[in-house]
Amino acid sequence: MDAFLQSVERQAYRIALVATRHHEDALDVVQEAMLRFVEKYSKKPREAWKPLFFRILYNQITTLQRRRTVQHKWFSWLLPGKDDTNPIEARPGSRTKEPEHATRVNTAYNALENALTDLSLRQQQAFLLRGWQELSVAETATAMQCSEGSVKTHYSRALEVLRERLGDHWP
Amino acid sequence: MKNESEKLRQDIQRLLNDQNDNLDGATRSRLNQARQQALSARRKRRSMFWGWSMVPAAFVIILVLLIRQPSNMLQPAEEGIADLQILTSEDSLEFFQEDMAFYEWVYELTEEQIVPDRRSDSGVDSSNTMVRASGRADGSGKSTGRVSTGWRTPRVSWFI
Repeated sequence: MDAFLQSVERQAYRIALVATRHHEDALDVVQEAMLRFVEKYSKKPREAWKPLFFRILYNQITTLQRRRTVQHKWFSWLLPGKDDTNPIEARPGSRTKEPEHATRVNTAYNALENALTDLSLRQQQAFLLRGWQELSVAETATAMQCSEGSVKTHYSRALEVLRERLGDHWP
Repeated sequence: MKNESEKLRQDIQRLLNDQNDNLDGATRSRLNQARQQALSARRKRRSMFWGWSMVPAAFVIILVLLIRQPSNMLQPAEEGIADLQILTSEDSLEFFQEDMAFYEWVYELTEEQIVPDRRSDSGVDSSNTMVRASGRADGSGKSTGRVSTGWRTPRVSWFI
């Protein structure tokens, strides 16, 4: 279980970050997803873990987005300002390559992040699970709790949007 | 068209993997903490499960002990009465310690001979007849026997 969670934690964080666009929220979502997954699905067969974990992750993301909507609607004056992340702690890892390359990658990533954010949540799910995590159509359908046909539709539309947005700027 | 889409997908995949590989230390640490917390919560839940599952077992054990307790409590009381009888007896303690085989023989003899006679004389039901026999050794093998009704004294050999 530990090895499995370790293998998916970074992907989960990235998916949550794309969906929430907030570092702390993304970490909270991943933590909650891990807790729930361990609590409810650790006895399931190991092959089923990945789609189930991402299903829980997206459920947590949806729950958080609903909560945020309510908070912004009624309690926006109580919410804190910008994220006060420590810049030293948030520095990139040691494997960062030369500055030019890093800048180019960061620019490309920012463009990608914006394009992914413009997708609907279902399209994001379909693309990140199928295109990035390389889950099968059936596994993606399990994670998204929809039919395989819907997965194919969302995935092809997501790819179309991304091609339109990133076509010119892609490195 | 399909090749373009596949190339785009691969580029995006490579970029996202690259970003994950270069995740900052603080985030990696937080993710590690989250993972450990999830796993420790499971361990805690397991130990809680075993703890709670012990409650019915403990209840059953206590119940069994409580049910068995009264019968166990009778034995010391009977023994206490027997001890009291020995202590308050007219006979000395040496009497109860020596030649038990002889006294048992006397007891069996009186039980066999006197009780049937008494039962036939008085017509008392043998199940309600309590026999008490005591003998005194005088070296000649003579013994005296007493029969009484109402309560029963355990055999002398039980006490010692």
